[in-house]
Amino acid sequence: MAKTIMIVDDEPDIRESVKMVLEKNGYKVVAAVNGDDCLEKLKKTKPALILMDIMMPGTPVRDVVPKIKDIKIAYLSVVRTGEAEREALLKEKNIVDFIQKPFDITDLAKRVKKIVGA
Amino acid sequence: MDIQKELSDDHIALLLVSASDYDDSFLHVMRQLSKKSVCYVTLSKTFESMKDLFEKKKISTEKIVFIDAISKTFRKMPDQTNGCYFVSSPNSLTELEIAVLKVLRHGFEYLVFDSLSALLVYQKNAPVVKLVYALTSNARKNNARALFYAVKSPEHAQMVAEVGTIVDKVIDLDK
Repeated sequence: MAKTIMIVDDEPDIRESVKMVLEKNGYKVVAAVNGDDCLEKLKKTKPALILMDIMMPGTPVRDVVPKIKDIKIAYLSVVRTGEAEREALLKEKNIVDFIQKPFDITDLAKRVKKIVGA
Repeated sequence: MDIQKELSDDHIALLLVSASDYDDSFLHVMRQLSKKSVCYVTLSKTFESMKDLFEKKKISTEKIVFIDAISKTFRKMPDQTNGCYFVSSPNSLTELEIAVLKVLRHGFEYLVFDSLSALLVYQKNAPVVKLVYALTSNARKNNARALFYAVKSPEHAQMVAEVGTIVDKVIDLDK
């Protein structure tokens, strides 16, 4: 059975391109437009991984993430962070990867596969 | 471009820059301002990454106080640390304005706002323009120069046009 990945990003282009690539790689993809939409959709689906943009309007990610239990989260970030910051973030519960935008879409698919398997 | 010369008579400027030249442009400006006291508001790069970047590019941060309005959106941060105030999020415009005023009152010579384009991810045009108006008033009251960055893009044209009526000059850094 195909694993489900949730993409949470306010940019339609990002949601569409990530959805397209991951579906091609055999995943089922659910898209959310922001943190609140993500939490709403999590009531009906439990993905294996959430790809979450850090910089979105609406409820800040820092308030959304604690409400997500037992699901791996990879941050997508156009926000530039320091190396020490990234390392600290990856020690936080649930956070499994930090992917700097702009990203190579094929590389993203490989990283997803590494995290959740095929 | 000599930013200090550009702001010798006109104190408040909107700097327009293409996305591809953005990093080079703001580093070039900050290098010129390295001996000045600067209040640097950042909305797309964390304080930590700014420090790392400036260190790498050998730009002194001794006289810079940062206001980081992005880190707290995804991490638990204190309200302040050495050289930086952290604002809750780019949604918190009043908090941001108060933080800027807190710094400018101490006689800082420059306010650099990086960037209006990043703020538009969170806000519509009207609140952004209103914030620019408030910050320019604060800067003038405190005898500070102010630089507002914006990326050149069709989506931001209206905001740029409206902000252009508030500032003293609009400088296209690509020209």
